[in-house]
Amino acid sequence: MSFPRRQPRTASPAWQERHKMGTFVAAYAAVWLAVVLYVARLGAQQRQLARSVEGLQLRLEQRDAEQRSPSVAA
Amino acid sequence: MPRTADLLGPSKERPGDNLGTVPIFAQRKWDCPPLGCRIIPDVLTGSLVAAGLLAISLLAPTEKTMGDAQRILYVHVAAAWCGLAGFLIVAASGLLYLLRRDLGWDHWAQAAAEIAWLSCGLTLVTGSLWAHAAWNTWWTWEPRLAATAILWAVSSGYLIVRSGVEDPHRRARAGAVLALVGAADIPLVIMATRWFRGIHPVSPQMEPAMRVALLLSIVAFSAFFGLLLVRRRGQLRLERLLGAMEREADG
Repeated sequence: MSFPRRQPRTASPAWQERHKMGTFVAAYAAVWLAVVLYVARLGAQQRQLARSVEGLQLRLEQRDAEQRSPSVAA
Repeated sequence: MPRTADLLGPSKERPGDNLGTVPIFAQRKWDCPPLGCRIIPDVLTGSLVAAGLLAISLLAPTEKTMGDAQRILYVHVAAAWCGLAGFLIVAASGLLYLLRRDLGWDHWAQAAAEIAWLSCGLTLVTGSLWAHAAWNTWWTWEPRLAATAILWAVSSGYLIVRSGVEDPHRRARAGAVLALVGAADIPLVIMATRWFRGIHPVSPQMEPAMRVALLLSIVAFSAFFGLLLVRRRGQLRLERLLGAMEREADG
């Protein structure tokens, strides 16, 4: 059994031009995808840090309130 | 998000705040008004990136033999430059850490290592696409390609080693030693096309418009990755500061 031979890539100048443009677009898409993923990771870490800061702030406020309440009672 | 300065209060001397010697512009970052210090660099970098993209797409002429695929060069060279500069910063910060034992330098090293890893990876991907268009092969063990792949592997190893060590000083020491050893690959990447016989172009002749587009692309990439570096380093500093404050709050 034999398969028909694949058409060479240099079949037509128009196909060749599209292929070159496709390579260019693929390279740029790869760059921007990687950058977007990295920036998204930074954003996620920033949000996590913001939550940690808020949690810590809350804990410090609670601790201050607890320390203040016995003196008020006294 | 509350600012670090709000949490720290007016006093600069707080337990756990021994974050080391850092450049003044980075130290002041958290105390600056947001519009003054955070938006302007973003806008400037965004404008540079937009100008770079326009120059690559519209200003640079289409090359005769490779056509539009040649435009990959503008982003490939810029990414390669950022990768090399990033790893140089990792090695320099590692050396400064070893000399001063200051974890502030280690934050710069880690942030730069992430940028270097990303840039080296992008160099390999865009280079592979360019090679397929120019040489009809995705990969060949050409000296410069091999040296760049080694640099990417070293930066991957650097990040993996760091993630496996808990103690910050041991982590910084191990990272610094690995970075200094890995930095020996940087001159090899730069000089590979001159020292060894390969198929990678050395410095091809370019039209002035192409040179302008390449220069603009390099400047835009450097500004963008520089901004990411400063932001990531700020995050690492804040993480450490928060860790110290949480330990203090736990008593």
